[in-house]
Amino acid sequence: MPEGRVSQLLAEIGWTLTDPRLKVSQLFIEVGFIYETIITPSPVSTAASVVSPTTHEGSQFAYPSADSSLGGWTDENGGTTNIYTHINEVSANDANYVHSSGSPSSDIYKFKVDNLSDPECEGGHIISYRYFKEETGTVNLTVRLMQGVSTIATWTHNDIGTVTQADQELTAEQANSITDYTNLYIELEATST
Amino acid sequence: MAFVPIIGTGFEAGAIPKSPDIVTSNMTCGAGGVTGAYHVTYTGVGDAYVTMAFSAVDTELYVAAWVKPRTSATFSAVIVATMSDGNYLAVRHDGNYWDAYVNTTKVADGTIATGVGAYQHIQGRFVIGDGTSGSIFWKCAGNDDVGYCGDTKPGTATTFTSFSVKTVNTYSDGFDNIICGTGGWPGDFRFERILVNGDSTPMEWSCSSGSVGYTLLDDATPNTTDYISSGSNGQKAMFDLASWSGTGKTAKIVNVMAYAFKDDATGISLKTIDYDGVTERKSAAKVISTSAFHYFDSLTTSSSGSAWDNTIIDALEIGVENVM
Repeated sequence: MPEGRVSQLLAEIGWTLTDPRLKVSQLFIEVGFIYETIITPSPVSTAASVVSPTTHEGSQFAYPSADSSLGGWTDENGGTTNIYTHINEVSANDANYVHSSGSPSSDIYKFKVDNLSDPECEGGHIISYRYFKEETGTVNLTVRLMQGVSTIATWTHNDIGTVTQADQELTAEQANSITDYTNLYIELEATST
Repeated sequence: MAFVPIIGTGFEAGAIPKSPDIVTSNMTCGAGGVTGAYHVTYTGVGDAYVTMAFSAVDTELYVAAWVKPRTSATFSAVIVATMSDGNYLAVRHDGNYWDAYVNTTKVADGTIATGVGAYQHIQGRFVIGDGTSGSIFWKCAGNDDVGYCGDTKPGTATTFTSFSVKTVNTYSDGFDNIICGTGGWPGDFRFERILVNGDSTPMEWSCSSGSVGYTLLDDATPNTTDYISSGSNGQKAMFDLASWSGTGKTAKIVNVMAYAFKDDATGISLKTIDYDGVTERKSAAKVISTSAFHYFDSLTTSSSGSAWDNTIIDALEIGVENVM
């Protein structure tokens, strides 16, 4: 009986030689930024070569409550009586402010703020205010948090310009140096150069 | 001291970025939000969260986000700062107010009624401390809300290692522009996307069609049908970016996002590159999957070490490198 014989059997597979490949189909950056005009803390007021501070710690708030000494400062209308009422609003109003004398030289306005209870906490003591100048020229502003006549903290703003918000937080050491939360004052000192 | 960001996103990838630093569950990206095209929202099932991890930071952490609580249910939205030992400080929206918690114990009630159904901006400052040295401060729309002082150190940890945005089931409609950092209040922190708009040099990758690479990468919504590709180790492709309008904005962080995938199981990694005109910087190699993901690299300074600003961002080039 004749034998069947196979001398070769194969399959031929066709392929294309390819490298494994890395693919990218979208490339971009996401820029994270502070948007400067939307969120404005409300416990503030205004000022001209000036200010309007509010001290608050935790959920307590202390607003200007009495004039202590005016120096050459007046309200925006030139008034000299209870000018603190022009900087004690809860929501900022830049049309309502106190301002120094013209071309001031160490012109200091001192006012008291509301009494607070001791928060027994060294964090979150924030002094908020807004300041600007009304005319041309260079004006420097120094802001001090005082306990009576003792300085707790000082902030200096040189060559102030358009309306600027400041939120100053006390250091732990500064906060711990406050011993009487019913005797706090703010001083605003304006000097032209 | 000004705010120094650590990590965050505006979800402008349209997907939750893939990173060892990002863990998510039952959250998905969709069109909407406060800024840009996308935000993150729940999938409607169980606990939903996005957690962003970072190298430990001592004692104090600031966070910010835009949040849209949906219902009056307790825990409709939660912002969490987690410590290295797993204990956490949190602020939970109860359907109207944001209340402060140390782990699951409420320590202070919120004072500002914020309601539901609309995006609201929140910021938090968490400080770990014993006795009266710990604190949780909270701001709603920039206004001071919770001011808690007390013991915020239930364990031994003195560092934070992650923060999270969370919700449950259908209690919240979304989160956008989430960020954490140190040094000060973040303010109204937002993110915007800038796509590539030109090929730079070198351009060593191949194009799936044509010879212009950036047009294959500048899709508003990514697709895997047009792409650039590379089959050789070390090949680079660099691109210019569209201009950014920085008016009224202070740039703080840049996330480089690459939507990438590979052909087969061969091990391939990707490095993203940023170049500020002076110094080139490459990310750590990211192992790429056969499924496409947005790979994420978060940069808090320029490649030369400078703080970001509009000029640096306008001059910025980004790119990719094949690592095989």
